[in-house]
Amino acid sequence: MTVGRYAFGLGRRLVQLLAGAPARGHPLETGPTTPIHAPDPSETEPSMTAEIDVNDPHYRRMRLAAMLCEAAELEHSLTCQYLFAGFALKREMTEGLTAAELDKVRGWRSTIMLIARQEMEHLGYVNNVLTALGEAPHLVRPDFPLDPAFYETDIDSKLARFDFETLKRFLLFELPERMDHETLKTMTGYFPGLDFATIKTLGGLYTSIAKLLQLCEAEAKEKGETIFIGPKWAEAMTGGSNIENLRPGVDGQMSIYGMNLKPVLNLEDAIHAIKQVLEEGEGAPEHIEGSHFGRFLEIAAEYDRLLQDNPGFDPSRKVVDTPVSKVGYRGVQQKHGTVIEDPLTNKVSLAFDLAYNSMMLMLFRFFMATDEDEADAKAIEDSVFFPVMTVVIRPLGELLTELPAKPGGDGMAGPGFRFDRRIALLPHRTAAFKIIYANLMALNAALTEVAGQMPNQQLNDRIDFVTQNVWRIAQNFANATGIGGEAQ
Amino acid sequence: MTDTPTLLLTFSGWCLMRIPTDPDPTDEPRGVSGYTFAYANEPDLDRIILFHPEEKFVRWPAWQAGPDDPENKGAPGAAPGLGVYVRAARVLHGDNVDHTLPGLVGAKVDLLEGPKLENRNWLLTLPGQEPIVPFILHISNDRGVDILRKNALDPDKPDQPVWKASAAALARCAAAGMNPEPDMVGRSTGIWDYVQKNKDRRDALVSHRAEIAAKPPYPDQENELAILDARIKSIETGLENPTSDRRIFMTQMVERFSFDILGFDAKVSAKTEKFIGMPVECDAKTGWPIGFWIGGWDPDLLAAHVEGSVRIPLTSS
Repeated sequence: MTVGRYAFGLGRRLVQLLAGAPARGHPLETGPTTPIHAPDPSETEPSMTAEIDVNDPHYRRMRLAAMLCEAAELEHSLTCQYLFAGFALKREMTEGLTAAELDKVRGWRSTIMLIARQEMEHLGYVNNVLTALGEAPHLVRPDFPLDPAFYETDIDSKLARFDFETLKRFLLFELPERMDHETLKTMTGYFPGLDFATIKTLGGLYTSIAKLLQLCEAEAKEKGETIFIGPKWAEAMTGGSNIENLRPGVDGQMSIYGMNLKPVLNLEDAIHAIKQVLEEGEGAPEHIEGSHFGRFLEIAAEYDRLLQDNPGFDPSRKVVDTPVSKVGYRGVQQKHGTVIEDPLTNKVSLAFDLAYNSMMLMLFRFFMATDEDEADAKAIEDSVFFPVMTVVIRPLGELLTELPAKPGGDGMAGPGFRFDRRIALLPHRTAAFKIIYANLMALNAALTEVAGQMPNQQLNDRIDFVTQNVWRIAQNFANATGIGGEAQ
Repeated sequence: MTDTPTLLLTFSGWCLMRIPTDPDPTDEPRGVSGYTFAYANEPDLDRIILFHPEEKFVRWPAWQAGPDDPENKGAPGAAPGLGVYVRAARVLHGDNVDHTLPGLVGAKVDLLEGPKLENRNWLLTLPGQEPIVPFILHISNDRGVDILRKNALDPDKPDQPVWKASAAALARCAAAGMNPEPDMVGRSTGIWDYVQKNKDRRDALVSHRAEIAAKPPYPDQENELAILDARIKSIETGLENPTSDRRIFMTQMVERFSFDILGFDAKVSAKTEKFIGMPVECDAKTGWPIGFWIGGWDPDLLAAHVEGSVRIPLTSS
């Protein structure tokens, strides 16, 4: 049996199933020693899925899938929020930072980018579990801003520049279920009067998912069945043939740039995946260093110290909250958020929307493998991770934070990560690839239209670079999938 | 081997490569997620390979070396002298050295017009397999030696930009991978123990920082201290995992290039030919085989060692 396709631009290769591999340890109890019981509904109450009665055995599996979908949306949403905050951080001393402040801010930016990458990994893990269960990977999400009640997380989901309030939101998103005394004291300083036990956390959702996975699999086993019925080859992992080419001897799955996505073949793998997600996110009470929560806590301490030294310290550009493109004839105007009124900025914002749209169409095809062959799958992988995320999404997103949201206004724009309703699985191979190619070429045209119009040479150079790279990505994709493209 | 006479120029030296590193975008100006950075008020990372960098790009203890200077000051890797020069010049007939040309030794070797390693986050090629574009080789000295040859990735499409170049054209001039060659790096740079080199560098930076901090305040002092703090921290972070942290183990890596410089007319000054004693084949179709490697990467200084040779066909008439 074979398993896996590689994420993060690193090729697809069929590898041997991990049969016979040594069992991994996992702290979330599983196996015969685990008492099997239905989770307390109060432990598993994400709002979107709460209407499904977990005590009814017929619906438990359905509830599990719904909870995974909710986790996927949250991970996806967190990725966008973290990226937005990271993109908006200041880069130069000319933006009003001292050399020492700038170095701290650069470190924060690096940390936030790492956390965002790991949120992508978590999204990949959730989708691997869904695939393993035979369900559809979940890549859709609602647009920003979101009412806290949408997920009952008690935390706003919005695109906002990095300041202390944003940092506090991030701390709550990654809040551990338990904290040691010292951490609790620090957190109480940031959130006076808040009873952290009342906060519904992402970690809590994952813990509930783990319990439900164990319960459903145990019930299936009693009938001689399993809930892990999905195609193994459709799952994603980090590593791949490009890595093998670069580093002979490296075989298959591996960690890359802080991401370590593994296939989920059975309950043990699923629990291991959740353990990894929890450790990377909230950490453990006795060991939060290196977790997202611990990293945000470190940033908060540094931020505090810098503010004490310089009360005027402001690490990020004055980017407006949740910028949204003015869509005109191109679609339905989003009603919430800050509409970008500057015509030139809006063109770049629309281009970003199109880039994000194209990336998502590729990710749908990547995670929901249907009729691609291996070469097709590799073509998607070689496009959508490195380089679309690195030489298109990030540069355009950063560039928007240097452009005004309104003519003559103080506020700057930023990437809206608009999830329009055309983003869905394109189910038919050739048509899908042609549409993706057409979108990329439309993006190339949209960027060509704004060439030379940026407020300074550095931004013009960045636009030119992205424009060139989009063209190349489109051609590489077309050539690799055999749908044509322009001659080189 | 033919009887066509050839001018063989051997060159070496340290260069700067102010490059962002994966997973940062290729045009990341300051460095975020990779392991190379532009600190404080330093110029942006511009990706340009500088064989003879201006002072504003040079981090202490690197320095601008002249043709007669040693390639390092002090312990190996302690203070690389930046500058790539001709170290030997020979006229060959087949396998035989016809004569040497001391007048060409010490000539400045340069790549003009902003040469860059072009893989663009694995879009054009995989890392370690990228070409340098543009590749305009210039060899000159103050005694009238002036040799210039501009390479075309695809000689049939000399004006085609790199982002439109075919895979075959990119591959023609690409490096043959990035591989560990500690012996080659050790013999050329004296750096055999790259972990110790980094410890020595860290210690040197700490001492240098103390010297700067002890000086009476001056305008750029705060920036210099912040840069040194960041560099010390970066090396210390690397030393925590020396076998897996790129800022440490990449020193032993070597990227080798070997291709014919093709396309465009060569330009060789009359005085150069007088030095050589024979005219140079200057037509666009005659390739100039060049082979060199870049390695011994020093991410703290953004410096790398370059070493190789170019064979320039001569006309015996």
